[in-house]
Amino acid sequence: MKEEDIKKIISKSTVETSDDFINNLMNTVVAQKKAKQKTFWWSFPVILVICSILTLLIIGMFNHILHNKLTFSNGLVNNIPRTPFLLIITATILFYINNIIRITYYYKKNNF
Amino acid sequence: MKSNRIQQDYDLIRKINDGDTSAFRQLVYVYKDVSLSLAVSIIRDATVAEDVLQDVFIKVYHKLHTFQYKSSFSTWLYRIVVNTCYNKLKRKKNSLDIENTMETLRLESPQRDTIGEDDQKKFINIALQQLRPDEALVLRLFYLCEYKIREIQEVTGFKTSKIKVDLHRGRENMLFQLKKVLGDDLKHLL
Repeated sequence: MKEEDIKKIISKSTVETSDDFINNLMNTVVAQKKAKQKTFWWSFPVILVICSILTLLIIGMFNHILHNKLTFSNGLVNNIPRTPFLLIITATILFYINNIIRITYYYKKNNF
Repeated sequence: MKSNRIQQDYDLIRKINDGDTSAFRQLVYVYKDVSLSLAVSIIRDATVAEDVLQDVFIKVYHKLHTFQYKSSFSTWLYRIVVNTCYNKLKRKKNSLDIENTMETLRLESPQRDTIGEDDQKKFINIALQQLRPDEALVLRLFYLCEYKIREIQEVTGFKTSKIKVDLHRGRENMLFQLKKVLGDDLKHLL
């Protein structure tokens, strides 16, 4: 038998999926997508609260160290600007938190 | 034609990665039947194969952002289909009695005057189900997907020599099975 004949025969061997195959699949995909989006957006308030607490703690710590503990010196400590320190530490913490969220999100997505 | 399809797939994948779910529907529509045919080559049970294919497409949807645009989407997809089906087959080997499955698929005598399109399909599929999974898979990839040996190698991971042997044996065995049932009426399939 010729190659073309075999090709003709096997081209008739396509197995068709059931009628509701695509609809079932799309329903599952859409449901999972919604669930993921919900999880992702819900994580923001939690992060916001954690960030606020951390920022307050850091501000409190700095105030405590710079004002109460180190004010015995000749006043040099009081001249150290505190705002840049606070900004750097807060930005670093936010950066790490942001990365944690992203890593968690992609981990969940990739290991579905 | 083939490169046009590849480009269309790339466009659809970009849309899907941008969040367009309807583009995924289009992509599934294009590949669902051939993917199921490949899955049936390995698993042999169409219902189980369809369930596996659902899982495959969900996996594909979630992994699509890792697609590199280096090979064609079909090759990438079929590789996932083939790997998932072989894994499923390995897990099921103890519980799924293939001989019994084959028993339920016994060929019925066809009407000798003409063979309708549905019957033709049925006989060909049952003949393919009598082959070893590797043979049926390679035959379908070669003739149905019109893949070259190199592409079949990419999808299956088989060696070139194995692919050639499976192709040869698959052809012989399929024709043997068809001749056994149809005899001279084999020409009706052409």
